[in-house]
Amino acid sequence: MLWFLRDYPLAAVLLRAATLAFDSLLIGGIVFCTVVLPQSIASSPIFAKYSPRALRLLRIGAIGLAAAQAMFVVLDTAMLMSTTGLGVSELYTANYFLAGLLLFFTAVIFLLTSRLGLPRKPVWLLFFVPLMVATVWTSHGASRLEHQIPLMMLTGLHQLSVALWIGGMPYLWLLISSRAIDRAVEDNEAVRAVRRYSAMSVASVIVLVAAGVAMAWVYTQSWSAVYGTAYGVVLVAKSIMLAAVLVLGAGNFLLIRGQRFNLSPWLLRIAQFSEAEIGIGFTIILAAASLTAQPPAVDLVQNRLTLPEISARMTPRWPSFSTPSVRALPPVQSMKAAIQTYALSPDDAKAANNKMEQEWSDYNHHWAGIVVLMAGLLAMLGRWDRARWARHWPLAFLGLALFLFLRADPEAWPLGPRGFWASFYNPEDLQHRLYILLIVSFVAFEWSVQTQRLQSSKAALVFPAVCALGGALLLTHNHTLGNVKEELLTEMSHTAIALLAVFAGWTRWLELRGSGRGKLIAAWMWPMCLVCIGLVLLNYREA
Amino acid sequence: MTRFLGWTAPLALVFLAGAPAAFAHAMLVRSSPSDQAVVRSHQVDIALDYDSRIEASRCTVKLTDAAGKPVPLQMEHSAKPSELNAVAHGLANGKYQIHWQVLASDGHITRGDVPFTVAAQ
Repeated sequence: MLWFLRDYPLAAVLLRAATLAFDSLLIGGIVFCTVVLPQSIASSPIFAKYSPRALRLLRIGAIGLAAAQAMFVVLDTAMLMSTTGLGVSELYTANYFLAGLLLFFTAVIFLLTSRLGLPRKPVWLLFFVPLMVATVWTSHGASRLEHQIPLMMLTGLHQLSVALWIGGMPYLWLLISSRAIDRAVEDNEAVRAVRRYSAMSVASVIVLVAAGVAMAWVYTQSWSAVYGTAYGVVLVAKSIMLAAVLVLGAGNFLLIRGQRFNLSPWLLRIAQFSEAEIGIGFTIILAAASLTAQPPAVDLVQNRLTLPEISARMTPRWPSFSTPSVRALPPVQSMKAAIQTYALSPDDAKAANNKMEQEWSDYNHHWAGIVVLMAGLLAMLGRWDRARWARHWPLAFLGLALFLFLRADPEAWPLGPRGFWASFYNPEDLQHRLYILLIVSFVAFEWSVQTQRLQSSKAALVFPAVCALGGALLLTHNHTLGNVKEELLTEMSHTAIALLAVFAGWTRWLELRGSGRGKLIAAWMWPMCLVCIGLVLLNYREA
Repeated sequence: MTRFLGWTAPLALVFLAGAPAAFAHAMLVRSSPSDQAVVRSHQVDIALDYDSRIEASRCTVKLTDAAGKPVPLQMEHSAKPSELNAVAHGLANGKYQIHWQVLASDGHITRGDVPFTVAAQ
């Protein structure tokens, strides 16, 4: 598994994502505990339950941030030392090193001072100064040649508002879920915190959107940059997810405004919606990390996709169900050559396929589309008592697992000359085997839940969690530095699948954890997302 | 909840292992010589211009000939915060490749190649 650690660009994006996520969690928590929580809560019974849980979450944020930054500094330093011959003494004054140290030591100092208890006094707010400075210092804005200072300020405002809104939300959720049985006594404090958090969130959203739109304009400056570049595609994905979170947030906001005198009975519903907001919100942070790892669209003037090119690729066409034979594919490399190619240059290992390989891949995607489409339709059908047999829909994915086993690696057993066990030494084959194992595990869980063989409420959350996580990770990887058109067209399909997977996961989560009308709407949405994923896969083409 | 998270962590690792590469971002917007250019002189002034600020002292520019052998380069100071400059003296006619690696001021490392040909008379 060391090959993916050696993959610097991927590691850098993931570490950046972890930094932004834990940074938001830490800043959001500090502000929530010092500003949003009423001072009177300290004398309330709820505080005894809430305080250690919130402190634990803050420490998770600090530890995660310190670890992510330590790894990033080590990674960048190791890369530079091995490729430039420079020593640590020549690298420790580099921006990334200094910013990394600032974040690391700020997080460590917070951990040490958190032994004093939950942050309650305004002096704790000083922590977010070095945290914000360090993350803005290593943002796109800081490295731009023009408008550096205004862009850094906009970046700072944008990241701070994300931290206050999305980063603070887990602490709100913890507060609501910390209420004891005698809720009449404790709800007053929770209600006050909810109202204060709601007001802060509204202000944060306004600043976030304003700063985001301003930066989006600077970094794109034309519609062709939005739809024709990888940066633009991820930006659109971020915007769509933001819209979804705003819809959920608007539901909570209107509820809080509407229930001026008796919000207590609705606190649980607010917490349930917050879970999906938190999930999608942190997915947006992941997408933001991938944005920071690529050039702004305004700098990519060549090889932009045009609307006719996008239209030609995305226009629905009847899927191909004819496949080239295995013999028509390129000759199989020896195992040693395959591992070396992957180890030395993983991008070459994934270099442009020839026509036969493209048709082979299209066929695979189309059959995967059939499976996912069928699963989605059966999941919808299974909601009726007369069609309880349709609740076995997860078993459709066993067909997908078998299909992948046979077709994902045509050079390996049973279609190719490489032995079954020998193919595990090839990183690509190993990845596919792990995917198959993942699918089989997910099928076992979700089928057991759907057919009520497994009654645990936590087991039911496996499918939505894995679905949402898979979609989130799919969003982080899709980038082309040189904006090669074919790769970008493929990325559009992948981004659509990633978004649908995120929404499928979190709407299924809402169905399981929610109540009332929201639960009913969510119950229909996630199977529809599966159907849409199936349709995207059926329309998938690599040329 | 901890057990639940423990279950999903190994699954997350699978996705991690499967996710293809992403790319970092200081992009070469202009180069002299340009990609596949033909230079009519044995002395070649190299200028690499990027879309963002770079930390020049932590960047590298190397030159190799058609056989892959390194060719000496003299690095020059650049007035622009986004540019690298170098000079190669006494290049024989033939194909060459510039290999660059830059550290952007936001911490991202990028690398690339610019091939060119010397055809002096």
